[in-house]
Amino acid sequence: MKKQKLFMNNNFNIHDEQFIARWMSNELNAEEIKSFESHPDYNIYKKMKNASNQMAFSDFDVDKAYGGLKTKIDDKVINLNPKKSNALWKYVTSGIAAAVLLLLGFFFFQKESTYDLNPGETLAVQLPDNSEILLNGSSKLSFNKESWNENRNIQLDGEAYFKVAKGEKFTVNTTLGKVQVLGTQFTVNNLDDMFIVKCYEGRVGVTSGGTYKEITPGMAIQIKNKHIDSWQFTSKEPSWVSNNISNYRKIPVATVLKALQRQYKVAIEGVEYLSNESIFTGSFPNDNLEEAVKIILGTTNVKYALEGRSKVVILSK
Amino acid sequence: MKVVQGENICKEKIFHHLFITHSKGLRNFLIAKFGDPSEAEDLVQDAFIKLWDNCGKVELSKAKSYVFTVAVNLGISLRRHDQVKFKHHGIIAGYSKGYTNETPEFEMESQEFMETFKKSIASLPDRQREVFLLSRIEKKTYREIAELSGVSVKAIEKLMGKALKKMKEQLGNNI
Repeated sequence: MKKQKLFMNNNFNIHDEQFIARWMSNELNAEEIKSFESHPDYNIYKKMKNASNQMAFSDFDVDKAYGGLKTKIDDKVINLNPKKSNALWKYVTSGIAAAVLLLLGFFFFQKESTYDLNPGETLAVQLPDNSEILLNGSSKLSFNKESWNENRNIQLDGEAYFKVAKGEKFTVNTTLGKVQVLGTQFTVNNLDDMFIVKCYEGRVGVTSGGTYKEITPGMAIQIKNKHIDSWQFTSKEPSWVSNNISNYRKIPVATVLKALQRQYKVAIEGVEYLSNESIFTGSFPNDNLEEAVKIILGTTNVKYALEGRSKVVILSK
Repeated sequence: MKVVQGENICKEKIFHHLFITHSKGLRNFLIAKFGDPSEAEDLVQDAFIKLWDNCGKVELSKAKSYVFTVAVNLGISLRRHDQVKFKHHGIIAGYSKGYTNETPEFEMESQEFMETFKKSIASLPDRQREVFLLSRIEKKTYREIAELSGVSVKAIEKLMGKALKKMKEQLGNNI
């Protein structure tokens, strides 16, 4: 319309911004193009058109970018929000696990699924019976997927929260004791020489050092050298699952530091300065090392120093 | 560990497909808009992470505009803090086979001209440069650009025309 009019007058205006824009994107007709060619500015615009045809944005590797994105999402899922470790993680890991298992199976006829976490990570694992396990930092879990129906045994070293599907039954084995379950929710934690089991729903049977004890919802037991300590609690979910906080009751400070190391990649020196009588009851955050160390060691009378993000040195009494 | 049912973005297959389909276009759009390739790629990542976080709430048909909006808003909020200069190293000028040979009389311009030309692009006002790059490098039509920024085709054509004139004047002085 406007374009048309300009040309009917044969009096188009090169200063008309829209005109040059349209020429640049090849939207003019032959006649319009031809009349523009005689314009003194034509050559420079032509050069600009050629030059821009020669240009591109730097390359973008979509696969690589997606890989980076996945790593970031998985890290985020694992570190910040264990409850959200949903479909993406599962998709990725089950893919990898299946591939690895396939290889292993080919050579060794072995089909053990093993999960071994770094400090501070948490991971959601689904059992073949749809029971769910949340594995806490620096913990290791394995079970046999193939023979699950015949062999319902799980090996655990560390801490995990189990949400057992209704009516399903299995046994969690640790070096310190074992836990038998039936449609329940509970945590098992073998920490140093302590064996801690908390029941959130249903009923669990705990066997350790020759003793057997059944616990019910809101009940926790802590076993050390055959000494059993039990107490009641009110939370509906472990604090490390709901608030990213570690919570311990009446355990030696040296043992709490082991729990700290499950959450942070941190070396600890000078543990010998800690008195055996230093007992810790309380919570520390799983995402703030400085704060966590302050809470744990603040209750003792030792002096300590943090060397960056990777070392805690206990200096003296 | 909730498994979300149905054909939504929470399925990794779908999410992956969205990334493959839109990440490059978004990244190039962000380079055109903000000028910094590595920042553009960070914004793409952040936007898709946000899409993943909200995968249950965003409709599949809105996913593209969602990541574009999120990335642009993030980019703008970054700009409130820093005055960022347009970096033209994100644009490569070369004899790559990627260009479209759109006219029969297509000619290569000299390396020297290309350098001056890139500088003139970098010196354009933001909106003009954005339109110019989306049109000339991303080969988007003025209509598509208009839709991306929610203005009329005429407004885009005017911005493009202004950009071209400004560059012509600069280049004219340099040749």
